[in-house]
Amino acid sequence: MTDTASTRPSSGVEVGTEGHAGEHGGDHFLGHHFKDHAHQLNTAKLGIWLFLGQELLFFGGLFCAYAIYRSMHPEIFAEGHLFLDTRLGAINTCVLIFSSLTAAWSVRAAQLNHRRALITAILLTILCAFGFLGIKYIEYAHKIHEGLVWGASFAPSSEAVQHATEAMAHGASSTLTEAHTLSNRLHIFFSIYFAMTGLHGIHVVAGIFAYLWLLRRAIRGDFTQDYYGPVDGVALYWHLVDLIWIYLFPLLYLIH
Amino acid sequence: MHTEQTPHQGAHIISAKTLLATWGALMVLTGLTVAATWIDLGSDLNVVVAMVIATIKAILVALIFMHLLFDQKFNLIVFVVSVLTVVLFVSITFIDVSSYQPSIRAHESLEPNKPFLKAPAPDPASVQAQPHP
Amino acid sequence: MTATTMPMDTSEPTYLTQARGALSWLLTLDHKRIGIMYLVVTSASLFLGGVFALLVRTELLTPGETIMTHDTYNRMFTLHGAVMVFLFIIPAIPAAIGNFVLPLMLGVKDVAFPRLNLASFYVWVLGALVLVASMYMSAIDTGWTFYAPYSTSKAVGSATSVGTSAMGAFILGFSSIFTAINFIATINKMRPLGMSWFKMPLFLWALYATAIIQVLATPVLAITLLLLAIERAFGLGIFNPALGGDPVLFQHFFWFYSHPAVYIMILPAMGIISEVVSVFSRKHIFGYKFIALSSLAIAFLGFLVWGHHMFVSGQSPLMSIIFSALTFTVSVPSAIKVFNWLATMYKGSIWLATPMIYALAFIFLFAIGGLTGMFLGTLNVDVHLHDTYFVVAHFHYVMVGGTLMALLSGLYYWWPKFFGRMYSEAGARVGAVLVFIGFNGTFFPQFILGSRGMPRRYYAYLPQYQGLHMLSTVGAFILGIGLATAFGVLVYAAFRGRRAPANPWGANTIEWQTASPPPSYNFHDQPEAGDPYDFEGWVYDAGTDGYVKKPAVVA
Repeated sequence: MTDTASTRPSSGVEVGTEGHAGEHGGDHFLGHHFKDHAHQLNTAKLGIWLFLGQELLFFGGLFCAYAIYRSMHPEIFAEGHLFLDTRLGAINTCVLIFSSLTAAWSVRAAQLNHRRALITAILLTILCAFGFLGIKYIEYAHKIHEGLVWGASFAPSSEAVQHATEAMAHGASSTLTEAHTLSNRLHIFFSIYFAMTGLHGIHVVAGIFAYLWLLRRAIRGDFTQDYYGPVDGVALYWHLVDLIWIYLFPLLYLIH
Repeated sequence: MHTEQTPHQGAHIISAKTLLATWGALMVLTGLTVAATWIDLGSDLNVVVAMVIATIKAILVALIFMHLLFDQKFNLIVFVVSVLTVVLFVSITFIDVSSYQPSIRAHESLEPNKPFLKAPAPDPASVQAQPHP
Repeated sequence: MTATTMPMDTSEPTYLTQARGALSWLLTLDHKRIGIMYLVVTSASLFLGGVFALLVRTELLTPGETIMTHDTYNRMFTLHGAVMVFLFIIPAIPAAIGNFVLPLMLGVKDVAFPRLNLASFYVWVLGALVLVASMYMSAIDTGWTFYAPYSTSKAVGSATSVGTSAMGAFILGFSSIFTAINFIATINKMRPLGMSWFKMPLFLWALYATAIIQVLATPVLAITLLLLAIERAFGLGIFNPALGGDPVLFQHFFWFYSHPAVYIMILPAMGIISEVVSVFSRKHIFGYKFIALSSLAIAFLGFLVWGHHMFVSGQSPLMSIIFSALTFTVSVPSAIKVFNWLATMYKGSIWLATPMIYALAFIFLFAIGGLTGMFLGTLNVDVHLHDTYFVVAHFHYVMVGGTLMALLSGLYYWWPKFFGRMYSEAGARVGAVLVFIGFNGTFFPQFILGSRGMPRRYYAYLPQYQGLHMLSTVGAFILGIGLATAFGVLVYAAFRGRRAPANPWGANTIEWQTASPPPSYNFHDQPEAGDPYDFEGWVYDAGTDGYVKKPAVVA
């Protein structure tokens, strides 16, 4: 152990590779300060979990705003959800749940050293993520076109209003019996809708970048049954994105 | 629950069957939560049903897809503590807002349904759309 | 264990000399160098915030205009608050001292995620640049709290760069979160053999509790500031009453983070005091478990009391009563710490070196700061005292009298380890005395001002307050000179000081078992973890003016 000084690369030079080679006999992917791969994997996973914990609190603020407005002004949700397309929301839910399956599959493939399955699973996850964003784009474009946007910019087109009033008249909502005029706070529903789905969408975009990075490394053959921490970590992140959506879908689209 | 174990690190590999079954359960629950809105249970109960289903789905994702069931228990603690902190934040804020809300309502009832947005200028899209139908 | 008793081999490169050139610092993954870089930038922030403070105090010398207009004054106190809170006091102890000391205390080579550590530094730099740039390019006069609806309305006043400043603080928050993730993972997974939870140094317990708060509370600030910036840019209406929103909700969001943030500021300080008091009393810390667990208790209770900032905001009486009651519970774990420190000193052999002088100042000033907090936590008293100089004096006694004193204590204590040089004890003591006198001169009059009704943040005031205001301003300049002396002595020591021995204080935490300054891989051999407060194993060695391990007694 006395010659560690010479084997440890000078800290300024080495960036961009995983850990420091050196003490672990040239094992490139094992950090010099970890005992072994299991130690590194468990530590990295704890790090990811802590990050996910802060993500929960980050979204927690929006869920708090949601809960406050939903309970204090239920009418804006009863009206607001009529402007959303439940079918597209449901399709997106299925897309995201399927991508969660492929993400979980990618971890399994990496653990079993199945490189081909790993690459396929990553590709499918990326594909689903793009699919999700595509459908989200259709929804957003439609909303923006109809003036169904956040806060002060809210100016629904008469068609959109007519459409929603018809839906009310059909008894789609039990809380709206004599709703002829829209609530004066309806714009806040769309503020919350865009804030929640927008922040979630940004996380999906970040997930795509993370998976593209994994794809490159998987093709290069970096991952083995000893070293698959990044696959595991990104999958955990992706599951959290899915988990948030599992709540967003009923909270925004499925209001009775 | 069928799991295999690698000889290398004690990390659990979740079997293909378990993964597919979890996915199937999630899809069924998604269908269920959509179907639940077709039944009128009163708006409060409908929310409760939707949240219970969402929470079951979230637990499935967390325990199986995210390996919490098989993982080191500390990760589960991190997750649970984070969720509880969100609950703490939301519930205390909620108690306060619902306690002062009546005074705001009393104030707002002086001027019922006061518009918060400036009267929207006639929307060009809707103006153009009118001749068509 | 040869490394511990061997005098420093000057031919062996230290972390300071191992690689040279600016890039070797800017791209380093070494926790020690990252800690030193944090130390440099947070000290610069302290200087900047201090200059703003002196400008504010100079303006308040006379009841009317002294040196600046009221608009400039409003910006100055906002800049002072924002810089001190977000740039200095939150990162100062954990990111600078913590980064350097934590892996050394654990006897490991680095923190768990070295690149995340460097990333957190650059995220900090980016956030600081955005914050400072937005303040200079435009104006912000909301105070550091960004209260809605003033902050959300574009047209009012000159709060024109709220959006960009909020984004700056948003970015800084992630720096804080990254550091915290690193600390928790490192402490959880990398403790050496023989160091169970209850054999950890108390500074690590404090950092751990702090990191828990950082992970759980900071993201709420992040989303709050993000919503605030979007609210301003696009008029969301969630916080803005003009659009049907709820401004009190903003305060809930803000204080859910910013009250626990007070404990992010003070807990690491308490950790330093726990180390210093024990070492300089040559006595085992009294009530180890109570001090350790009280850190966790403070972290937990800190999440339950945020509403005491909102007693007069329109918060419901119900929650005000609950928050007031809960506020008193926080004093229990805080008092547990203070009494345990006192009990540690009792019949100890007290060595009044500079770190101990600052630690004593901490205990004295923190007691005043903490007890005046009780006044403010009492509902009816707070109605009289809220938004007065009493509040200003209270939190400065906790933040400056507490955290800054502990920071200085920690800097003097670990400076020999940082740079391998001893500071001048005489110069350091002069600085400490000036700081203590200046601090009390600045803030004690403010208690009186506040109780007599002088509101905070006001530009002009009634002539009857002028005497105390002048006293406070004079005190502020003495404090400024004292801090300049204190830092001057440290900087001089870093370059010109006498060579420091590996263990100048005879402390038994692991960082003193390696050379001063440590080599870049920290330890020759895996160090032994024993009871961190058992000083029996060290004897004074006149040759190095430090302590060396007692020769092993053959059993």
